Amino acid sequence: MISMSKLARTYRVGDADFHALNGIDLEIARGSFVAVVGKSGSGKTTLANLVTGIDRPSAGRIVVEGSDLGALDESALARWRGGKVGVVFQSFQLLPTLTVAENVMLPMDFLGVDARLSRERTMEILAKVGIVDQAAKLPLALSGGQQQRVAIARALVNDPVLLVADEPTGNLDSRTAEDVLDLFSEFADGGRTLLLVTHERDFSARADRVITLRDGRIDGDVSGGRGRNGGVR
Amino acid sequence: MSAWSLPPRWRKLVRDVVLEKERTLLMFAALVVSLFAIAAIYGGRQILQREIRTNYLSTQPAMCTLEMGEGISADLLDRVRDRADVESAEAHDVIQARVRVGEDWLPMLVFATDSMGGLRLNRYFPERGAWPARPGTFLLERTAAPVLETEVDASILVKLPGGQEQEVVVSGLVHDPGLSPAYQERFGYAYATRATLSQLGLETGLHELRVSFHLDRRDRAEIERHARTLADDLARSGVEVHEIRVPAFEKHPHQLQMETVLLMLLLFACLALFLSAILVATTLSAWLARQTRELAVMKAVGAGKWQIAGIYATFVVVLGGAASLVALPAGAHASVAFAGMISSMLNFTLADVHLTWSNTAIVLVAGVLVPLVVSLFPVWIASRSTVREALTEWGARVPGVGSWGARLPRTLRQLVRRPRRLALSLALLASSGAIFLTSLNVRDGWSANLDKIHAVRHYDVEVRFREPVADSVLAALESVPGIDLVQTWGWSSASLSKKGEIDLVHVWPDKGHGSLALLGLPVPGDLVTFPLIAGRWLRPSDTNGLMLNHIAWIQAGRPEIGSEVAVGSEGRNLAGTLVGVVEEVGSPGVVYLERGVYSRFMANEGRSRMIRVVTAARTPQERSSLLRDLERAMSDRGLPVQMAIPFSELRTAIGDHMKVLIASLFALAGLIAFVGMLGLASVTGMGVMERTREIGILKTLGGTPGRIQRMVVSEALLVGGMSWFLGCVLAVPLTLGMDRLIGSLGFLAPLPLEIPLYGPIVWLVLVIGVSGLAGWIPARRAGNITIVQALAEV
Repeated sequence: MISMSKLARTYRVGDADFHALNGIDLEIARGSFVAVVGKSGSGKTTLANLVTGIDRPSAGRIVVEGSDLGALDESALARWRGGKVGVVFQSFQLLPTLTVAENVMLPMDFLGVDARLSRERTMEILAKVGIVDQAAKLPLALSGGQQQRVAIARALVNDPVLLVADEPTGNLDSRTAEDVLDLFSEFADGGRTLLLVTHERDFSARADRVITLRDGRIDGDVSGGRGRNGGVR
Repeated sequence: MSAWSLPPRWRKLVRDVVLEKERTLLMFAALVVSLFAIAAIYGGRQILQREIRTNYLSTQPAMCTLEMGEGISADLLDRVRDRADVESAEAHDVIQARVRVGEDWLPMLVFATDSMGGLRLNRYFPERGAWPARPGTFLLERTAAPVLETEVDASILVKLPGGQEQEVVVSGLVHDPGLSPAYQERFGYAYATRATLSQLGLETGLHELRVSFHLDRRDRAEIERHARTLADDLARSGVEVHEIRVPAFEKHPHQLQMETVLLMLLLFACLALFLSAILVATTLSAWLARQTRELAVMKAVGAGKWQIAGIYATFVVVLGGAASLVALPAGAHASVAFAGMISSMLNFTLADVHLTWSNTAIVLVAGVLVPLVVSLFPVWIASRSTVREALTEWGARVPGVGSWGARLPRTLRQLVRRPRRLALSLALLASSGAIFLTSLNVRDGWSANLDKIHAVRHYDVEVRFREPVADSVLAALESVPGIDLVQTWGWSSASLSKKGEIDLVHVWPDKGHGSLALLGLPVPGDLVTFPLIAGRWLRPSDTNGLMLNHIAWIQAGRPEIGSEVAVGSEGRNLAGTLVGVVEEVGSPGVVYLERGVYSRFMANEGRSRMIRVVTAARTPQERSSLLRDLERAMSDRGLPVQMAIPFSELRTAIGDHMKVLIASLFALAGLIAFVGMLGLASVTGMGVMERTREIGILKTLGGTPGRIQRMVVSEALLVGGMSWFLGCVLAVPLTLGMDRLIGSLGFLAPLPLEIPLYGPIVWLVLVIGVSGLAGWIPARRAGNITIVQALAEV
């Protein structure tokens, strides 16, 4: 499903190079729930960005679902992302001028999905995440938890094979965070791949596999508490 | 259900536009005013080009005029009409008379024919009163009546050649679209039959044979070929032909000037549209900068760069299209008014003011394409930024300036944070300043050029006589009290024809436009001090040398100094060596010979056809009074005065020719200043809005609202100041270019470079006022919002 080989990402900071990721080799099997953990600055977000094609590696290769991301241009990456990947951000990143339903419909709009089908899917997915009654509201009228549910609905609406969530509970209280993780577990139970980036080790109990990053390198790769087998390297 | 009907990306666009309504309105207003100017000027140009041609051609202008030695007989006319290549032929004449207006005498052209009713060439049309003229009366051209301060059924005091002053009744007015208006030329235009002239004591034949040909090729060269063949045939049969006149083919005397002036105004209107497009691009650039994260999110959920670019390109297209649709009807009305104003200045009637589809199409296409093309740059930049770059854009970096950026003063550092935006803003504001200043500079250059007419001519009045007058008689005019100097000059009409050829000139029937004169210049003499363009001034020893003014030099095909120039005048020819070229603003083409050489060439030594007179007058009133005394003295001596042109008339006549141009330029300068100020307000306001979050941070660090306002206003003033400086610098080459263009149109020589101080001062006051205000208002608002609100801003 996901294959990384000698993956590196270096940023220029001032006059010096900062190696956010340094020689990552990793295989993640389809249908696994993988938690990527580590301290701030360990390279977690960079890894998530490379998997989603949001960022490009400085060296190495990354293949996701048979697509070599380095070979795709920005437009092809956007199309690929729209069809195959759902992304959930820590700060929700909902468009403030669109209603909840419109935010969820947006990925389908860019994929050219028929408007009627788009409406049906939107209402289905909003029902699934439990906020169908909020469909006509603007994001700012919702609580943090509700906003993250909208973001998850938006990420799932195109039925992606891969969901990447970067600190999705970082801005939520613990009760709400649990609800959100329940949603992810449901997604993973559907046989799709979930990459959850978090600095909270507590959540690793829900994952099949826990990968620890430290200073841009893999510092640990163990089975998670969910008890399923990941496609270990 | 309707809320669902629009796809989310377009709904986002609509809501963003509503949120940014002030800025959208600014962009819209700028586009509307500039498109209005384009619609008005392009539409006016369309109407005028069509109507000046229709009006002029309605007169059936003769293709050529042969000036005959004797009155044209019916037999001669029949012979000419019988020629296979002749379409029409008629006998006309133009008498140079004088008419009394108040205390002064103005020149008046009397267009004479045998009959008015059946004219087939150079026709004119009844406007008011009698048609044709009652026996013994004149008709006046409609623009001449106010110049002569008279009306239908009133009488005017006229001096015909060789005759006494006599009252002539004006029995009606006519419209002659083939003439430039009387108020521009400071001439009277009258129409009379030969019978009336005879009744008034002027027994004259009709000397102008006006002819139109059947042409294989419709151009002036073909007409000249036919005209020359006809003239040569007539000459061979013993008929005396003095001159062939072939004006520009199917062109009103002022058509070229009008078309070029309209083109120039259109150019300024296009510049205004370009400025508006930069304003749209700058505003959009700032808007997209505020949307960076949202664009990134859209890309993260699958939007391609073309889809993102498409959203904002569509916005620009709709904005431009809507602005065009608003500007079009108002512009159409203005174009009719504008065309009416110009047509009345050029004395033609607008019979048809409809605008064709091309006017609508041009405005729509310009309104959509120009802002779109200019905006593609910021739209493309925004659409191609990567998601990561966009999501990590916090506005704290100093892109593109490297470590040296940190060494800049804080205010400057703020400005170079977004170098592309700064460049766009400066381009917008500096261009508006430059164009505004250029229009003022050109206006002053024009005025200075008119002043130059005075500066290089050191006499008060020029008098021309119908025939040479003894120099001793003319010199005696110096005895008139207050007349300091009477200098005699040689004067005759001329052509650039070779020996053995009948003179061929390109003059219109008014004998003024397109004319060429041969002057005998007193050397040494200090009544004219025209600047030399090439070569040197004439010397007494130049027995074979001649000097051209720049108009004649262009007519002669810009010959080199030292080359031979063939000149013909009244059947005489010479080939002289060109020794110099002078710039003579406000005059038709002139070939100068040394005074003595001229007299010998024309065989009229000791006699002159022109004097230039210097008076002791110090005020215009004194000058008028002295000129009247001079007139009386000339009348008492029975001198055959053809025309006396006080200098002030020349300046006013030339000034009037381009009055509309200057007024239109000034209006466009105001419009450009308006667009520039909209841009300044927009750019400054957006700059502050973008920094709301930063302002919040400053407040957490103890920044007071007053301090924040001062900081923001000082940055706004710095941008304004930089744009002012760049605008002033840019205005110089732009002014030089426009001076060259406009001067070449009006005077066939560049206008002098004038950079009046008031232009930069006015622009500086505007820039400081608007940038200060445009910075202060949003800074005050931003300074007053709470820190929590400010920090919540993306």
